[in-house]
Amino acid sequence: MMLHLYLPIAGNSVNVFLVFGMGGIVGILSGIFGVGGGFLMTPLLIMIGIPPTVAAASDSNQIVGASTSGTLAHYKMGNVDFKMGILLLAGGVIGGTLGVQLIKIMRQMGNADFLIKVTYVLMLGFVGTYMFLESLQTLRKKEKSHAAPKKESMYAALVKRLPWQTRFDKSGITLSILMPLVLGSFVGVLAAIMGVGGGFIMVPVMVYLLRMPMHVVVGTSLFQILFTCIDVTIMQSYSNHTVDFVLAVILLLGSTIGAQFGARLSKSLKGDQLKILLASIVLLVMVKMLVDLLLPPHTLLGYTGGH
Amino acid sequence: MVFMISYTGAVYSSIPVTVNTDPDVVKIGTLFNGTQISVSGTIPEDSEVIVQLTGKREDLELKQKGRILGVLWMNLGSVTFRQVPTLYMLYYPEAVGKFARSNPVKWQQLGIGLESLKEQIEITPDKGDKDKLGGEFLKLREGEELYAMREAPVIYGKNGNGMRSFATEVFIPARVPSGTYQVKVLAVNNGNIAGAATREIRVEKVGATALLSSLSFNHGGLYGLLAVLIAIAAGLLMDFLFGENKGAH
Repeated sequence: MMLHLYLPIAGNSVNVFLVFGMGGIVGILSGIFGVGGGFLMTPLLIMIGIPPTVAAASDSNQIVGASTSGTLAHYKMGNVDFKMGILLLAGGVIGGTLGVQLIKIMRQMGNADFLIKVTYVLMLGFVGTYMFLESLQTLRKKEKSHAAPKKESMYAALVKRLPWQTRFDKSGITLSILMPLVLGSFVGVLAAIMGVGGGFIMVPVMVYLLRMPMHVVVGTSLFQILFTCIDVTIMQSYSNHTVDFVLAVILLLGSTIGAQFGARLSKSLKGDQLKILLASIVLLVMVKMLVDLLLPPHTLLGYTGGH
Repeated sequence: MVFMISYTGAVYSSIPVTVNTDPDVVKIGTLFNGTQISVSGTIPEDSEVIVQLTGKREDLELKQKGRILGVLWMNLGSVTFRQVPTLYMLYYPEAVGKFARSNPVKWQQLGIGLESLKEQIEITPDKGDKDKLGGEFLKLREGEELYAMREAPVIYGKNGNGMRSFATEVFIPARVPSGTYQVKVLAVNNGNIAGAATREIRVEKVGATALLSSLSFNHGGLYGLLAVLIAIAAGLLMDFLFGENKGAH
């Protein structure tokens, strides 16, 4: 059945069932992995005829819905560490503000966009490969039994010495509050520069640098993304008038439902399985971006605001 | 309504060409997915009709991609296309299409169609690659269905007094921007323009579509806040409907 709705801000019409389906799939992904899904959704929306800036802003609106749904589902499973999440957010706000200033400087230097794309590809490649190999190793190790005790790494020793240590119950770890604040800022700067929600960076940071268990990472990451996207949606709507509410609603009807099923699916996966799957997706996205950089584009001309 | 328009200094004998459109106003509502407009009227009985639909002309700045280091594609700079129409459609019957293919020079002299449009476009900065860029620009617009040239069925009828009636349909794509458009009807006879007439049509958003558009542009902050609240509410609702109903811990 072909039912089309007109999108007043995007200035085009879309097939409702197609967009609802897209929302559903990305929602499932976000429920399983704790990512926003913008990396997948925005290019898909552009492909079906939505202007790039409207695609990104409207997707942010959609992510607010999906991450509300996902955070709630994960909260019920005990996967949301609010204490950690709030500290990360605080760091993210500081980092984000810094990042916006950095972007201004980069823009004045010219061709910031290209630098950003290359940075993105390199980061995704590094993070994805590291995650993939690490979780592969862990999955393999579990097959043999381990008698030798784990040696404490230098990193862990250093971290233990930081001031203001506090217990994070949901994650089952004890850390200095400086850790989430500083790391949150770091992610915030990167997110502002690369124009993404930061799920791809935040998840590995939480897993490897904060040492949180994977399931708690997923829930807490969604909590984070929720607030980031609330901010982005309001700012984009206020400054650039690029949020298409009709588009966002069709998408989020699908994604809010998808997130519920995604959360349930993630329950049946072990932490290391989740990690390796996410790492594979990250690597796939990196390959896609690399291919985009290397292959001749469909037309040599494009509208401003593309990513 | 009858207009007399002269091309390249030629003066026509007073054979009036008439044109009518239905509807005159294209209303973009919630279910809009493009629409057809009927264009009809009268032309001299020994001529064929061509219908040209143009939108307002404006400057358009686009990013141009190029290769660096011979390997990587990136945006190399901006290019501005001056005074290009927001929409350009040319509809003509099979007979005209055949004529155009067998008499390309005469067709070109008519000054209509996408090739002629490409030649007329001014591009800044001009790096001597105007033809290539013009071609890329047309490709972009054609991909969006905003520029098109089509052979379309035209129904002719006999009127007497040396005139014949014509009727055809022009497709307006969903992407059409709001505004006023010119529907120009040309009567051509063996590569010469025998008469022309123009009519204006309007495209406008109506109802909820207009309301949302206006809210977004005039009260962006409020609109954003509402959008966020509704998204959160939807998330809560879906969790209630589809979520697992254990108590929270």
